[in-house]
Amino acid sequence: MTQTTKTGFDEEALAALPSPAPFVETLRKQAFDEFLALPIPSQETEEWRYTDLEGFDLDLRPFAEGGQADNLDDVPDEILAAAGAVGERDGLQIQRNSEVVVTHLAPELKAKGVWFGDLDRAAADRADLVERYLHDLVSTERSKFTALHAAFRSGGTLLHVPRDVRVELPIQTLTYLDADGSAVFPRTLLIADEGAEVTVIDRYVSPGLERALSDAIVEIHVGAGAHVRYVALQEYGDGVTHLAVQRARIARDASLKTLGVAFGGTLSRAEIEAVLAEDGASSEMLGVYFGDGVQHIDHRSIQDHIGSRTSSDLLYKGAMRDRSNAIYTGTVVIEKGAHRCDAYQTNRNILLSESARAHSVPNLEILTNDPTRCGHAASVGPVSDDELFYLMSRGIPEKDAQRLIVFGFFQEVLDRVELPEVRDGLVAAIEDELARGL
Amino acid sequence: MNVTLVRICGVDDVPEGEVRRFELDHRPYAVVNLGDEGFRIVDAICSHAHYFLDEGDVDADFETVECPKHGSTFDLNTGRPRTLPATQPVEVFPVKVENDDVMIEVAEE
Repeated sequence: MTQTTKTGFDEEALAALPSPAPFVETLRKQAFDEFLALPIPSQETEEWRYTDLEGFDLDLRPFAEGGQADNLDDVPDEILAAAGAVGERDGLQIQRNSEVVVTHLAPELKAKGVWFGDLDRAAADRADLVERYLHDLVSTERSKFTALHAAFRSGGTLLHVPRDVRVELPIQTLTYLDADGSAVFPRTLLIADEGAEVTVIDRYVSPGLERALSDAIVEIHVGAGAHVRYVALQEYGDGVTHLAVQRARIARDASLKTLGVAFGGTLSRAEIEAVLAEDGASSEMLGVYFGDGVQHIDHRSIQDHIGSRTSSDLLYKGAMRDRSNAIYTGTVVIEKGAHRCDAYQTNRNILLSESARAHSVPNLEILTNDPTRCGHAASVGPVSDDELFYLMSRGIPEKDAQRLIVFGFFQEVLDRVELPEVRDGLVAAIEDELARGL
Repeated sequence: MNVTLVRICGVDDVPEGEVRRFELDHRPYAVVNLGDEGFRIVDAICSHAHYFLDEGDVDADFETVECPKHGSTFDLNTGRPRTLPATQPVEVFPVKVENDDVMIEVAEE
C-alpha cells in the first residue's frame, strides 16, 4: 500500500540528514522504503485496536535544529531547568529536538571503557557496536512508525557498559522538544555486557505545543549476569503524540528493572517488552500514569519467557480524570521449553471522574505445563465509597480523603521505586496532578 | 526584604586566584579572590551533589570555579553552570570590599 497522506518525510528530507556511516545510510534507505510501503496502523489489527491513528497527519518537519553547545552558556534556562535537580549522575546528555546539544560522562567511567554519547557519533566511532545492535531487537518494519524512526532518526544515545564494570550513579538523558510542527526520534541503545551494572533514566519534556510527534525506540541488551535499571519519564506538554517501543533482551542470570512513567502528551503509547531469553533471567516492569483532559494513554506489554527458571513481575497503575482514556493490554508468554517459570502481571486503574475511561486486557499464553506461577490481575474503578466514608467519618474533608486514597493507590508502585530522586519526583508530579483538582 | 552588609573575611584571608570557605549563621559561602577583578561570593555547596566548591579550582580568566567532585564549572558572576553534570545554578551574593574587609550582602532575618 502506498502512503498517500501529505508528508514532510520525503527523499529530499532523507538526503539532508547526517550520514555518520555507510551502514546508517543503507539502513535509512531500506527503512524509508518500508515507511512508504507500510500503512498507518489500523484499529482493525489487535495491536492497535484501542488507539486510532488513522487520521494522523504526517505533515511534520523531519528535522528540527537543537544547536550544539561547547558549554552550557548556549543552553537555554528552560532546558537546564527541565533536566531537573535529580541528584548525582555519572553521565548526562541533553538533546534538543533533533540534535544532541551536550554530553557529560564521568572521566573515571571513560577510563573503564564506558561509552556514552550521541548515537550519530557512536555510529562513526563505535560502528562495531552500533551496526550489530541497532534495530536488532526492534525491527525497522515492525510498523510504519518504527520504519519512520529508522529512516529519519538523528541524535539519540548509545550507552555501552563493558564486562564487569559497575556504574554506581545513574546516567540520564533529556530529550527536550520545543519545535512546533516537528517530529523527533528519541533513541536509546543500551548495551550492558556480561556482569555489568547500570541505571539509566530517559526523560522526555516539552512545553505545550500545537502539534508534534515523538517517535521513540529503546533497545536494551542485558548480558549474562548483568543488572540494569531503566526509567522512562514521559512529561511532554499538550499537543505531543508520543509513540514509543521499548524492547529488552535479558540473558542468563541477568536482571532488568524498568519503570515507565506517562504523565504528559495528548496521545501517549508505549510498547514495553521484556524477552527473558536465557535461563535464570528476571524482569521487573513498573508503570505509573496519570491522565487528564482528553489524554489518551496506551500501554502494551509483553513478558516473553524463553529461558527456564525465568521470572517476570509487571505492575502498572494509573489514575484518570476529566475525559481521559487509558488502555492497558499485556501478554505473558511462557514459550515451549521454558520450564519452571514465574510470571505475574497486574494492572489497576482508578477513575477520578465519571467521564474518564480505562480498559485493561491482560492475557496469558502458557505453552508449557510446569510454570511455578503464572497469573494476572486487573481492575478499573472509581474511588471506593467505603474508603471515602471511613476517612470522612474520622473528620477528614472529602477532597483530602480522595487525595489520600489516590496516594495510597500509587504507594504500592512508589514503594518499589528504588531511586529516591525518581520516587520524590513522582510524588511531586502526582501532587501537581491532584492540585489541579480531583 | 531588608539586606545588610556583614563582614565575612579579610582580604588577606583569600590568596589571589583562590577560593576559601567561610560560614555565617551556619551557612557556608565560597569567597573567591579574582585579583584586579575583585572578590566574588557564591554558595559554597555545588548545586549538583553537595560537595564544597572551595575545594575546587578557580579559573580567573573565565571567572569560574570548578566542583572538585564531578567537574562542573560555575560562572562566578551569574552562578550558572557552564559544564555538566550540574544543571542548576548556585546562588551568587553581592560583595563589597571595605578597607581590608570583604563584606557580603545578606538578607536580614
